Amino acid sequence: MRLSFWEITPVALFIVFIAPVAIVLVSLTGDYSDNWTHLYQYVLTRYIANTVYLVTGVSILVTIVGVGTAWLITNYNFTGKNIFEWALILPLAVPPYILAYTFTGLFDTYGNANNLIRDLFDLGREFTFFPKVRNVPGAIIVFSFTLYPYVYLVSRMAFINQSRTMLEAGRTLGLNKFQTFYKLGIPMIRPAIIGGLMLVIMETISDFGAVDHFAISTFTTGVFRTWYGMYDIETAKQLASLLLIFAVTLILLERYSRKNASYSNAMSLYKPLYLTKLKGIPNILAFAICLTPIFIGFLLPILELSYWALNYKLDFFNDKFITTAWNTFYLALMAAFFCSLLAVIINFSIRYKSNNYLKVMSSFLTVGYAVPGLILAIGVMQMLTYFDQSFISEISNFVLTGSVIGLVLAYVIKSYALASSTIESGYQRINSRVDDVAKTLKTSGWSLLAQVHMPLLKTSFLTSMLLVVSEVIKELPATLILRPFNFDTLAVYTYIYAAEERMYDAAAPSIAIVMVGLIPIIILTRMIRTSRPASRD
Amino acid sequence: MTALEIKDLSHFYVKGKNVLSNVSLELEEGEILSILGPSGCGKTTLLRIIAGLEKETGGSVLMNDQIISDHFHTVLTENRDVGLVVQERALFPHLTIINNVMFGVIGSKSERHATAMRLLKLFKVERYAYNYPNEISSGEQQRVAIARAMAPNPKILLMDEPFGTLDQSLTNQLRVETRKILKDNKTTSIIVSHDFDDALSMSDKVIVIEDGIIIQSGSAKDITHISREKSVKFSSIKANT
Repeated sequence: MRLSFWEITPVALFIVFIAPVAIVLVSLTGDYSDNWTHLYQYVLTRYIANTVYLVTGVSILVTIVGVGTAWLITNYNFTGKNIFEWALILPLAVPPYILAYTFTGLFDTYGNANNLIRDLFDLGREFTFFPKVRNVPGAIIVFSFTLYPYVYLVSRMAFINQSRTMLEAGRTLGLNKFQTFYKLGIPMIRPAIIGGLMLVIMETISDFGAVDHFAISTFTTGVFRTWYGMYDIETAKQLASLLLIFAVTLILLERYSRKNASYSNAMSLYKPLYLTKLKGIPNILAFAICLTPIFIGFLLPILELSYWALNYKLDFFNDKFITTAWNTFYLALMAAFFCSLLAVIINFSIRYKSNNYLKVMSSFLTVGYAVPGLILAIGVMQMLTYFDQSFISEISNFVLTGSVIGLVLAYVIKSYALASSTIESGYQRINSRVDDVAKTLKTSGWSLLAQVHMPLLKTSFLTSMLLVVSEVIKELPATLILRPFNFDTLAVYTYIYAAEERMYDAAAPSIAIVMVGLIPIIILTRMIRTSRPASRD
Repeated sequence: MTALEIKDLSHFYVKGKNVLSNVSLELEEGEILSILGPSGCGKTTLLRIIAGLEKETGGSVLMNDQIISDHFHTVLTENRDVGLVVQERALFPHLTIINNVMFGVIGSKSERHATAMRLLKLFKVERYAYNYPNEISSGEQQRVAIARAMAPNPKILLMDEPFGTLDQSLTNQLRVETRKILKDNKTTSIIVSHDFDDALSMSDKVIVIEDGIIIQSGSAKDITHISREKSVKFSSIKANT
């Protein structure tokens, strides 16, 4: 049987996407060095304890903030509600490491917030008003207030789709408004909350910048220290494998918990919710509850970064900044283009060939999103080094290793899920009968893709590119490991300056990262606005 | 000349549950055949197999005495020289009406344009040539869909519930017009429908399928004498769908 391009490409891509992860996991079967014994005896327990403490704290806080604000926005009318509806997503534009930098700039002993309190109340230099933030509780706040929008978004969509009739049934059975919320509202959207929570946990365990800045020992900082401090790549890979197993276990648990759950309201006739108008103290409370996460997660860092940038008298806008920004954008655009193109080719293959094997294989291609950038970077680097040593070493040393190819490859693997889901939803809007008719009009394969599908997928393709660009610009650990020598991106630039406590220098690239991060938020806001609305007051 | 011959055609999605069983039929050049039957009886599957959009599990399909599909060969849809009209119309939304109709036509641009315009005039929609599909009514879209399918001059035109979503008066008008155009152009056609009136007013031949089996076949006139028992049974299924 002759296989076509549309069958070979998904298989080839599957091998390339899985190989870096497999390379890391294979290390578990190798020898364990003395460094491993040292890690096992002295620090592994701390890595595990800190990671679990962090993940638990973040999970609780994001659930409270994300679900609570989503319930308020969906069910009530109060002052500022129309602004909060989209503004609650804004913190998603701020990567946790940037909020961590601004937090230390504000709340360290001689940070701006403590200085302000001392000046206002004429207190001595030894007086500290705000508690220390360079610790696990501080990190919990940083992660929670930048990542809660994941839970907010999914909960909001789920609440919007809840039919009024079910909640009204609860009221007639004797539940008050609060009981309706936690006995009916929340249990009915539990799968959505868990889905959002999984994204938050993945982001938390794969972060490097924020925990490194707060000097908290977690798996990611441990992997970095083992590699760059002990120069022991094998032990670093073994440590990374444990993190990967933890991530995969979480995904499997989440899938399993959803397995038998049927929470759709397909059986009941959908009726949009009535919005209750809040007045007086409830109105002020709802306003404060929604403003707080936006203030901590978005306004505070923006104000602090702007203050730093203005204090620097805009001197940051120099050649180095422009070069770094250019590096970042061309890298991001390249990764976004390849990622979106591959997503189109794979989704087209599935549709064109109607093959279940291709469908299953393509679901594995999205695994990169769940793999921490750090692990992916280690795997990609090892893979490229193997290629260099096996096939290219006779011509030149290390052609692929340390080139932008590695970086782009890691970005593509990491962001493929985003691109694929965008293109997939674009394809769902194209009736499959269009393909049938096109085939009878002698159009198939590439011409079907180019002449019929691509014009119809134009918007999805651009959306996918924007989402990947904003994801790539924020990516730190993979970039730190895979970047070519003397090649900085905005994220690396920010990290290096923040590590040296040169916060004024870190301000401009941080603002640039946040601004680009706003792009997908604008897209998301538009999507939410066009979704099923709640009804009148 | 036999334009289409189907021999002992069978098809299943789940082994043991045949969607089509031993279906055989012949269609002469220029003839119009209607395939009638209730929803889920296998008539659309038969049409998709003729178009090459699905592969039969048994039997063979011949066009102009050449095998186009059997156990050993399959001619791909794009090489079968068939036209397809579907209930949803499936016009390409990013192309103007004229570009939709020109899409499958081969030749120089002026030739393709002339062919498309001729068909649009035939179907009385030439004034919308430079509009987009969403700018015209559903009846006009249906005319364009038929024109587009006829434009490459296919050996067989396949129509799946072509008037399914249109109102009754428009359907009656389109039936008359379409039959005239198909007959004038000597286009061999197959119409799949669950509507007796479509079959009786448009076709030369009719076959009735139930549960994947041909239960009646003959001229449109013959089918009007369909046994009372079958007619009642079919009507009751129709009413439920």
